[in-house]
Amino acid sequence: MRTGAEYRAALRDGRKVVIMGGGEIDDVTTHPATAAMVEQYVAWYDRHFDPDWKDTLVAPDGRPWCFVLPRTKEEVLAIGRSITKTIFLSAGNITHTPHYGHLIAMGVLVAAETRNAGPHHAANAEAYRREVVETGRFITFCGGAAIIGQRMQPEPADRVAVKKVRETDKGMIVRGRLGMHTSPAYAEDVYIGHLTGVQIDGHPAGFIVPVAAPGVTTLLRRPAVRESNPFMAPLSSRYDELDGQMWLDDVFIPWERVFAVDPAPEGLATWLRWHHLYGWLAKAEFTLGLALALSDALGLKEHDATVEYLVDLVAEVQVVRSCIAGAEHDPEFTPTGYCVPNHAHLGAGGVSLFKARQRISELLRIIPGSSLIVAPGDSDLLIPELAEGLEESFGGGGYTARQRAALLQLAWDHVSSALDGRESAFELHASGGPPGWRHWLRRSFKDYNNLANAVLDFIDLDMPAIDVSGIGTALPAARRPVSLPLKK
Amino acid sequence: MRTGAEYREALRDGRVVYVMGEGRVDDVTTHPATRGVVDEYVRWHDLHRDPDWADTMLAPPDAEGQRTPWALTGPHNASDLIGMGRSFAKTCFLSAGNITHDPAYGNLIALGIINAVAEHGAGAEHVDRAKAYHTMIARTGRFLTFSGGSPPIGYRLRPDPKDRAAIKLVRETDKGIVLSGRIGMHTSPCYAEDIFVGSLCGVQLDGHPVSFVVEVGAKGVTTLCRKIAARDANPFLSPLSSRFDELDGTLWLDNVLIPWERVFLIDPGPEAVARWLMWHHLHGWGARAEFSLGLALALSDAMGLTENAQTVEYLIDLLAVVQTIRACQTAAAHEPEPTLTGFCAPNQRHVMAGGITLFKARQQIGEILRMVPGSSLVVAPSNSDISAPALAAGLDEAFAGGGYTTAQRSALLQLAWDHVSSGLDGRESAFELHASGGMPTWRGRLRKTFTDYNSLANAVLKQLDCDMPAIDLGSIPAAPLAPRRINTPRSPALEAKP
Repeated sequence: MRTGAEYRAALRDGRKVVIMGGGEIDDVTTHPATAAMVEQYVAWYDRHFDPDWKDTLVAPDGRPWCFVLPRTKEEVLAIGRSITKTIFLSAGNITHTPHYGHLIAMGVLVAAETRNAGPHHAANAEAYRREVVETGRFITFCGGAAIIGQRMQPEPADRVAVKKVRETDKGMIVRGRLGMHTSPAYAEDVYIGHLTGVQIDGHPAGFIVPVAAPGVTTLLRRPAVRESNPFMAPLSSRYDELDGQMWLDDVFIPWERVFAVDPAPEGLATWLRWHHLYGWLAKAEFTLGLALALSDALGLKEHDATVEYLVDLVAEVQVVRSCIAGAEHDPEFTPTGYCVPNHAHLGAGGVSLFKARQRISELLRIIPGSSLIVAPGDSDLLIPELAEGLEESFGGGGYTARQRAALLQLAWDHVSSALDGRESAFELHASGGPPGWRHWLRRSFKDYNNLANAVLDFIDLDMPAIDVSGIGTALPAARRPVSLPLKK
Repeated sequence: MRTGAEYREALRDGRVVYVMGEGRVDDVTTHPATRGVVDEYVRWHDLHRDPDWADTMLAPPDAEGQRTPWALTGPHNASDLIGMGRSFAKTCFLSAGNITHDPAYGNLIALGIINAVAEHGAGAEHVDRAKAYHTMIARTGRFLTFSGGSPPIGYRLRPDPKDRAAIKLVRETDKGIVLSGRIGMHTSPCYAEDIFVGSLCGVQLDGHPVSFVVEVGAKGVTTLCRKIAARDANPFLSPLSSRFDELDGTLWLDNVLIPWERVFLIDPGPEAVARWLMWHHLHGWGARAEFSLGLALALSDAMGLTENAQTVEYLIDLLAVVQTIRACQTAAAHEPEPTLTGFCAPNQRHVMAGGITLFKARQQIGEILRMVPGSSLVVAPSNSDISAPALAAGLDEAFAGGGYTTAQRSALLQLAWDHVSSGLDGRESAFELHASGGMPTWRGRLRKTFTDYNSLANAVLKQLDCDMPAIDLGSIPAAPLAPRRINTPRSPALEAKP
């Protein structure tokens, strides 16, 4: 595992990054829009050298859990523990890390093995995964879908994100523009999925692009609007991982980074939704933690209605914990022996959290009462003519006004900020949103015919045997078609 | 495990049983109100000898090659819990989740008695007494059911608080205690042989709350079962109601001798006895939800809706609930908790999370199953209508086709009706909203067993760049479960008014 400093230095690789509303960024490690997140990733790497974190992040044989390809239930449990502990540190806001990148590389390997279009594809995928393990290189993920303007092209053949310009004996040269993906400014590689439409030997292809490769431009979204004072924005000021788009202008992709992959959602995402669910759980757990802290700070921990709100939150958190525990204790195995958290259990947890998410946020807005809205900033507390009155208004019960205000501002930043809004909008799309998770559950549920035929045993009559397996094997819903405006 | 025939014979023990609206039942094995469920229990016993069920019902062979019934096992590790849970899920499904009390549940009650006596700290002699009773249950397969011990409503409205207890201690003898009184709702008493009566009965000995086990066939015991769930006499229209109405009841004791070896000193609340019971309840509710999903799947096939997008979304709603319960149960068995007496119990947090999920989802599950088949559910004919010459051709035209005869499609629709629109369904809902304390108790138990209050509250403070007070929220899980509802008697002045 490299150090945080080595990672920081690796980002000064000549990459071309533009941020909406802010122009070109010469150095992501120092620019105000990106420097704080770089430091979070630096801390992520350095944590592996922290003795206090050793038992969480490092296997007994010395391998970082983030770079272990699991083959046993015990390894899945340990990897899960390392994910949940680290993702909580950003209140679930930093969802893309080098660990997630390794899960992408593992998924590329499985998707290549599943497609089985030639041994070199799986071999190349494994070689790439090993490179990630040996170097700690940070890869992120882009599905490869076209952006809205491309989808509005009059000619159907032009409605793709990327086109192959030409092939050489060393690789292929591609050109195009890619839609939303996350943390490209902080990653070193981006995996581009088969939704580009690029094919290799007649098979759907994914490929890997270095962020700093010649011809690559990364366009980041505008940062989540926030107070410049970190007291008012303790999360927004540090954990805005920045989504982006990517433009490819005659970019060369070597054949070793092009993979014939299975297009089913289960292959590439074999481990990714597990990580997504941990991210959502971390946000829910952080919400519960805040609610608990606020119930203490506001003297409400023995107030019946507040405790009932807390139990509502506990129940949502515990359901997801149970689903993840079920998934890890009851895993599945790929044909080549990799251990995978049970997708059906994970799907149930994800659907449950999608249903609960808005309510979870509302509860955190309810519990502190209107103090949440009128809490002062630290600068207000320092104004001589306000200090005494604010201390009288917000101090007491074991908390200073500053302490209580800090907690209230943290809650506000967590569930009433632009960062919160971005997180919601992002997660409603990133992994397919509720329709994607419901469909994934639909495909991973195994007992359609068993259950349908089992109820027939209650009828004292010969009945037709039922085959409803088509429900579970249906292809993923097609991406939303875009209607073109009629020509005038 | 005894045979079903031996179980049936054991019920002819002179018990005094009444069924509301039916009068005295001389023999529960033959009376029309009770024999259907007796036959289900007979089948339950005989499943243990069915080779097709051996791997579900029996533990793997021990060193001597013996296979113990999971139903009578005292679990010592996660593997035991997984095996037991699988057998509960499979057998509960056989009644669509309607028969929730069986000898396996009784075994869990007996285990809970050991747990409760140990947690109360009554002493080794009392723990040994509880263990001996459990050993007897495990050896004989004797069917034990559960009553919390609370009094019926009339007792709770008595003017003198001293008279509001369900049971009074008449006297102590060298052989045991003699008790009289009346006990509120519990389930399957007319099919069981023993009833555990919990400490809510109000009896105390030397300052300790008393629970006890009473034989249904003992002298002085009268069992009053509720009215049967209203159902059509034709089993085609009531394929579930006609077989799976397990009958709840109340119990009257008139100077009944309880031998000392059946008297157990425990804490006032029922939590410790119920240590394994909520897990079994969740398996029952899970079986009912799985049956609903199975019916919805079968109906989507019978109604030609397997490719209808809205129907498939309904199915996914159902399977998301089913799969969440499966995940919670899997986690509960794989992450068990030890008890004071060396047994292994399913992780309560996971069980409670599953139970709360189902409490929230239950009504929606019923509604979805009413929606999936469309209005055919309401107007489907019976087998007698289909046989009527004047109707047969028309009904065939109206209900047959697509691979199903009229009788087949109607049978499936009537099965669905009986599952989610019958008196049996209404009873199940009303019962489960009370039997294990309902939603308040499940939430209370989750509140008490969730362990991360302080760690989460203090962890979020690390995001703040200022010294903060350390937070201690230990009072939240430490608070007792909400007390039982207090019934307030009318004031004497009001009573006097005409």
